[in-house]
Amino acid sequence: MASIVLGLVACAVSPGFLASARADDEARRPQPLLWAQVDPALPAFGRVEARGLGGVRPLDDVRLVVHALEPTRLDSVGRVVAEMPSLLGRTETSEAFDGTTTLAFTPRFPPAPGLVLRARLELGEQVLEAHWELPEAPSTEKPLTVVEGVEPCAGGIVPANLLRFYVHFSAPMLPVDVARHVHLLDAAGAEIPLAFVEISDGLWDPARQRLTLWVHPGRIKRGVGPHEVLGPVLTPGDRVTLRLDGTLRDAAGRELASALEQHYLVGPADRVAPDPTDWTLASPAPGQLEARIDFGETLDPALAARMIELVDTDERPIVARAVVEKDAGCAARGLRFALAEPWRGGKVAFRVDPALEDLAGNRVDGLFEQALDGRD
Amino acid sequence: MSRSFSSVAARRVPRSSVAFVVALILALLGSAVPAVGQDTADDADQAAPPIGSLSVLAFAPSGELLIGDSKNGTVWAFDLGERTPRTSNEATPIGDLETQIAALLGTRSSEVMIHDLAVDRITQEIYLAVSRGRATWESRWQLPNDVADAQVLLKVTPEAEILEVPLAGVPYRQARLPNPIAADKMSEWKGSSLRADAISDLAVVEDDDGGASVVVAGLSNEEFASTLWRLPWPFADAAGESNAASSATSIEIFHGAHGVWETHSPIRAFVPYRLDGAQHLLAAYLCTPFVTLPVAALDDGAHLRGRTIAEFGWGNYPLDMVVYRKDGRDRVLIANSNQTWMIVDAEDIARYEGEITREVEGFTAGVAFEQRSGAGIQQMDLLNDEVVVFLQRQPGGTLNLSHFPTDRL
Repeated sequence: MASIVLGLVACAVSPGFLASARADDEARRPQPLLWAQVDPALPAFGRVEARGLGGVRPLDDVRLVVHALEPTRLDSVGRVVAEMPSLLGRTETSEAFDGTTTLAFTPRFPPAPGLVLRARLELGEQVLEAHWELPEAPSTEKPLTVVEGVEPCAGGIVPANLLRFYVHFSAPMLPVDVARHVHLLDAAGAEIPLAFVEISDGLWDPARQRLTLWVHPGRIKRGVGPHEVLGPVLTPGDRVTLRLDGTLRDAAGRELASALEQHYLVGPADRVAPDPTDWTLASPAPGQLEARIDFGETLDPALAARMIELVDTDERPIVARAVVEKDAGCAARGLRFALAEPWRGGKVAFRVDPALEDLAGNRVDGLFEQALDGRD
Repeated sequence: MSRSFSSVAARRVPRSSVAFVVALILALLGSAVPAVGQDTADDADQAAPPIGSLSVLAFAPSGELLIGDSKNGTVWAFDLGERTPRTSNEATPIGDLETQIAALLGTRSSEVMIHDLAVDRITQEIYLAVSRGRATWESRWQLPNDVADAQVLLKVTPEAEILEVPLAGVPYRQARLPNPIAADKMSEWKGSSLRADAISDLAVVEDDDGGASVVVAGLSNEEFASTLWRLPWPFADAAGESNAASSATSIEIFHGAHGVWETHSPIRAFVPYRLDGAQHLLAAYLCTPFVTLPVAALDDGAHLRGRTIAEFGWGNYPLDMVVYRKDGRDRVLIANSNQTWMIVDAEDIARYEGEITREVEGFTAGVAFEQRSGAGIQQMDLLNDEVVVFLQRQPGGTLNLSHFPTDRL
């Protein structure tokens, strides 16, 4: 029903039109109007009706002409600029409940999106005209892009020296003018200035569906300028909110379905490097298709998925797809490997890229902050 | 769209909000009332015959409209009945024909494709097979039939009015092709179904015994796919089960530009023409070998080698071919996808004694041809014996319907 009303909003009426046709009881007669179905999702899309015509009779003197043209073929008041063929279609008459006649034009083909549908109703000298801009794309188009997830997850405790957020989108995004749509707010809702490294167009994966936000490292590292002047972005005990404006646009140029707010509690800083010797490896039994690693701590999820691989006793890689396993709080706590072939038996091990980091940027081969004088 | 429009009527007469609301409510109620009225367009009781694609259009000398339907592997023959003859050399040109047709079909000019053109020589109306939607056009080698099935039959009147041709209720007969190429066979280099070339051209052809047949060029499922079918004309019945008397002949030609014998490439355009009194087909192929084929040799189940008498240049589709007369001599006019108009003197064809059976060294070889201005001509037919009509792509991008006297060619 809503869509019918939408179509009606665009109609035009011409009072006095019927008076010349039926003068006897004009006060009780409805005025004629032009109506069009302009919702492409509905089957009668493009149908134009002239309603409220006088009496049920062959309307020999009535002519309904419908055009569907590109906007450039019409002038500023909707008149056809040059003579153009009218739309192919069928015209039928029917009786409305009040005894008036409806003249209905059904196009042979549904008109293309973005055209202007134009109707001209002629009854002798009398003329009624109306036009409707047809939507550029059907209303059944794919849904607006949403944020599918953020790492670390909302509601969790993040280390005070957290280095990155990852934001995952349901569709490719427009890598333009991103930074000003991303904010970190304090408990009072005030924006924390210089919270993120300012990359105007954002830092994107090749598919442009994952946005990486770098917490400003100069404010994490003690002893460097920004930290000394502005202080750290996050302090243990803070409650902060990551906010993405809904005006961020996807690759199709459309805004997001909604803005996003994620709340975090800030915990102590993490100043311990990941230590793979503490991890637990669950080797596959012969014939099985699965192996698992439990980190015993939280690692950077994006790096963990690609920096750890399974190997056999000869250090040959085992073909497997790694999926990050998360705990209830959404922290990356381990990896599950789906093997391409049932395991043939024998021991397995794993190989780790020493550049693998935890959430605070501490690498396997070193801490994010290395004090030059040996102090912690 | 940044422009905003307002209604002419609404500007001229102040809008009455009360009347508007009343009419709005009535309109909502009125929309639920079922239709009781008459149909002022075509006759809804008569269903149109189930044509799958308007792949090729032609007219029989006796005036029937022939439609080659590659999708159904069928040739339809419609009896258009008595009609008022017109004989005039006047024709009204139409600039930007695609925009005019787009307005009829409710789409953009860029989406309009014209698949074929044929002139009704009785009324001098120009018939067009049309589709709306060329979004899947992805290869420069794809012809309109490779991209879409033409579903709309239009005609252009001598007054340049464009009308839909309703086929519902028009008497027709049909003939089905035996063994047209299957829809799942793909052209690797065009990336589309070869079924689009089940029928690539057709014409009514008199044979040497005074009979006639509809000769259909296209592709079959045989190993040598290029085929000429002969369907006895006029067609026997409406149901199309007249295959017993039809014939299929596989065709092989030497393609001098590529230096190979070919059996898979279909004839793109042909005309019947008598050489020394014997009926022949003059046929042209992609990359433009020009071939003669004796109609008497089109026996069912036979394999016929055509005689390649010219190479008119590679990288080119011959699109349409007509025969006209000038200064007492017959001439063959060929429209091309990637070259100018070509004119071949029929006497040169009759006199040519050679045959191309080796790879040619230059760009062209064999029977001579003359060039005429006429690049970008995509469809062509004779309006009468003295005027050729054609669709030509202009430098500005529009497709224009034009005509030209043959004595000036």
